[in-house]
This record gives sequence, C-alpha cells and structure tokens, in this order.
Amino acid sequence: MEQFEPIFETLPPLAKLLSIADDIDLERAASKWRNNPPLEGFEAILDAVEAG
Amino acid sequence: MSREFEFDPLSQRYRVINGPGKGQYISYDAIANLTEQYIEQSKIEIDSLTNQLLNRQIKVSDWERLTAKQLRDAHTNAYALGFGGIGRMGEREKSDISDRIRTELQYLRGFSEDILNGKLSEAQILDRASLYVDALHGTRERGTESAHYLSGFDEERRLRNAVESCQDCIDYAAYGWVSIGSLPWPGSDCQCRSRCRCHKEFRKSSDQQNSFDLLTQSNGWISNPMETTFKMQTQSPIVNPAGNPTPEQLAKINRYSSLGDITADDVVTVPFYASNNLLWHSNGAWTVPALSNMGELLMGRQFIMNHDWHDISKSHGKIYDYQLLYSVEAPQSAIDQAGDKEINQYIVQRNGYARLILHVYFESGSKILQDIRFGRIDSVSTGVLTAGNDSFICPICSERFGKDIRFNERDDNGKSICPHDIPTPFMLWLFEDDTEANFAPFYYRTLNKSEGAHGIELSAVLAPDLPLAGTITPNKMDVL
Repeated sequence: MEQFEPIFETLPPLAKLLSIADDIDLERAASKWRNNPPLEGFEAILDAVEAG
Repeated sequence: MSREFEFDPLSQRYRVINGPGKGQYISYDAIANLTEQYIEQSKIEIDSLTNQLLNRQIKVSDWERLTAKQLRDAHTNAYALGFGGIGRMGEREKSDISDRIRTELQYLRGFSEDILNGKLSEAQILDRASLYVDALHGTRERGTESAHYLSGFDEERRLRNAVESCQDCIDYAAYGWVSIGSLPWPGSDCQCRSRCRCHKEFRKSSDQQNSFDLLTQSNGWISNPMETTFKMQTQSPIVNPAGNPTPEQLAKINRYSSLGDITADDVVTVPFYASNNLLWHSNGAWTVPALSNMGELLMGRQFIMNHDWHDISKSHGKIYDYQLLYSVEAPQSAIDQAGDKEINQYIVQRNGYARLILHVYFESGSKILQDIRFGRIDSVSTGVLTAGNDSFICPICSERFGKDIRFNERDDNGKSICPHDIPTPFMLWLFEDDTEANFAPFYYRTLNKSEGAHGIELSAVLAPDLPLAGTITPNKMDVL
C-alpha cells in the first residue's frame, strides 16, 4: 500500500468530537444487535436481567 | 428457541434462565469469546469506514465522526457485557463509559491529524484504526471491575492470557491480590496497550478468612485454570505442523543451540500432543496449572527413548517451545479415551479441557524422523520429577474444602484432614482386599517448581500412560 497524501481539510473543534462521548444511549447501542443480531447470544446477554 | 439470561451479582456470572442449557452458568471463557467475536464484527465496520476514507469516498472529518460514533456504541456494549447487561446500568455507568470514550476520542483526533499531515501509509492507517477496536477488551474489563466493586468485592489481581505478555503485565500479575482498583486496567499502562489480553479477577477479603470453615460449601478448588497465571491459548488452536521451522521457530530453536547457527534446513520441527488434564491409565490427572508448569519445566530438555534417563545416546531431539491449549469443553473422542468416561466428564465440567503441545526439533535426515514419518514412533510420555507425596491432591476433599487438599494434608493440630487413600495401581493392588481402605475415585497431581519439581524429558514409548499422547496425525486433529 502507498503513502496517504497530505489532505487540506479543517477538522471540527475537538470539543465537538468529544461531545460524542457524552451522548451515551444504552438502548441505541443495544438495539443494533436486537434488530440484526450478527452474534448468537450477544443481544440476549446484553438484555440479561438481574437475578433475584 | 432463543436463550434468555440473568446476571447473578453474587457470583458475577450470567446464567441461562430460558432455552437450551437452562440453569447453567456462562463461563468466563464464553464471555471472553463473545467479546472477541464482537470485536471482530466491530473491526469489520471500522475497516469499512476506513476503506471509504482511503478510497476518498469520505472526508477525514466525516470518517472521524462516524468512527467516533461506532466506537461509542461498541464501547457501550462492551462495558454492558462486563457489567452484567444494560438493564443493570444507570447514570453512574454511563458516566464511566463517557470517560473511557473521551480518552479514546482524544487519541482518535491525533490519528486524524496524522492522516491529514500525510504521516501515515494506507497500511498504517488500517492497522492503527484496528487498535481502537482492540481497546474494547479494556472497556469490558472496566465494566467487570465496576460490577464487582458495587457487589462488595474488595480485592483484585491481574491474570495473563496472552501467549507472550509484556514485562509490565508480568509485573502486574506478580503483585498477586491487592485492593480493588489498585492495578491498571488491562490495556492501560502496559506495553501491549490495546492489544493486552490480561484480565482481572476479584474476590471478597472476608470470604478468604472464612473459606476454610465452609466445610459443606462447594467453591471449586485451586485447580481452576483461572486461578493461576500461565501462557494459555483459549482461541481456536493453531499448532504449526511438522516441517522445517519458520523464522520465528528457528529463533527459538537457536536459543538452545550452543553455537546458535542452526539453519532452517538443518532441522525439522515436530509438534507432539504431550499431555492433557484427563485421566491416565494409572488413575491420575494433571491439574491445569501443572500442565502449564510442565511446559515451562520441559523447555530445552531432550526427546529420548523409553524414559531411559541413564543413557544420553538415547537422546534424539530437543524441546524448544510449548503451547497450552484450553477450552471449556472437550470432544467426546477425548473423554472416551483414558479410562473412566464419567470421571473425565466430571474433570472437564469442573476444570475445562487443557492440552499441552510440545514442539521438538530433530536433525534433518535423522533416522527418528523416518520412524515418526512411518509411524514406528507415534506415542510419547512426559518425564518429570514431582514433589512426591505432596503432589497428590484428593478430588473429594478439594471439592469439600474449596481448595487444593493433599492426601497427606494436616490441620494446625497435626490431625489428618483427608480420610482417603491414593488410588494408584500399586496401592489398589496392595490393599485390594482391605475392608478399611477408602480409595478416592482418582487423584490429581500438581507440579510446582517451588516444591522441587523438575522437567526431564519427553520419551517415545510403546504404551503411554495417557492414551492420546503422541504425534499429531490427521485422525487425532479433533482432540486438539
């Protein structure tokens, strides 16, 4: 593979990138696996209920 | 029928509550394997995004944003897997995940800037992108630690799983049990970084003070493979076949050469299925840690004939590498061999299935290679010196006390703890008619260097004590 040439592009402020980390949505993350589970058992494990 | 799970905070394990395997606990290895699969899936998604970038289909800023979102959701799921499911998580855990992802995104920004500045090749970009996905191991570990802390676990230790650990990880494992939160998370503060495969184990200090008094509680004993540190492969076993050595193998071979000038054409390396933790013909079984120690102790030792320790002319090759393969289940063909099927099933259910592969090199063109090739030599047996009577472990008392109990174990008052006799063939023959004899159904053997154990040799034999021990032929691939 070859060297990737320099690109003249401006990135958004770092704060904007880091704000993605604050947008944690448990349901959204897990729903990816519920709707189209590529791993048998994974979505069921995520949906585990607490014993007792 | 799909399975449903519950998470038991007391044992910190998942359990099947509906569907196949109802009532069974899910092993640590099963969750670790699920994480590996999830990481591979996530890599495909990140690779897809990165390839779009390399093909100039998306801008770096778009790639960065989309990658960040993929990582955010993947880290959230990995944390949930370690924590016990999303249903148990709240604001505290979300905040914990955010902290973790924020750090990753700061690294990602540095990566984006390196791409923009043309500092990286396409191959380097693809490789570095995959590192961000490897960091999911650490996030699952973080979720696991958090769940243990909230359930009152107050001590932790680091265990190594990788075939080759960095010095930092070796040092962390050497600390042993310390207060929870004292040791870095796997993947941080070590040279392996995101490719670290260590994990933490947790316990309650209060349990340790009382554990020996829990006479009626079955805790699982110290033969549990996760209770020790050793080089262990839990993924699909990859055993290099017989042939001239690869450059990596040759480097290991030359560590044992006094001249250090052995070339790939000089030698042929042969892997042997040397041992496992199932029953021998003589009623014994190695503990899993014993097999690991055996691998270490046999490094650099000779391949000889018939356990003849008094004749150096019987030496034909040298052991230069080993692998300890481990899985939670064993193929039926392995369980069916070596004596009592029910005992083998019990051992696997309790301790998993471990097998020791020893790699031996022989001089090219030597007669023994023809003997191996044509099957005149196919069975092997390991030769070691154990710690004698101290190395015999009673399976019944170990189960009862929740730790390794030797047949000759005594309490603080000098009173014998174990009422059982060791069922070696000689003892069984000697006391066959003794009505007071109380033989255990089998015995475990330990092998600890600190107790004086030594590795001596691997022998070609006609009748091995362990039926599966021998060359790895196509008809035996299923037992690997």
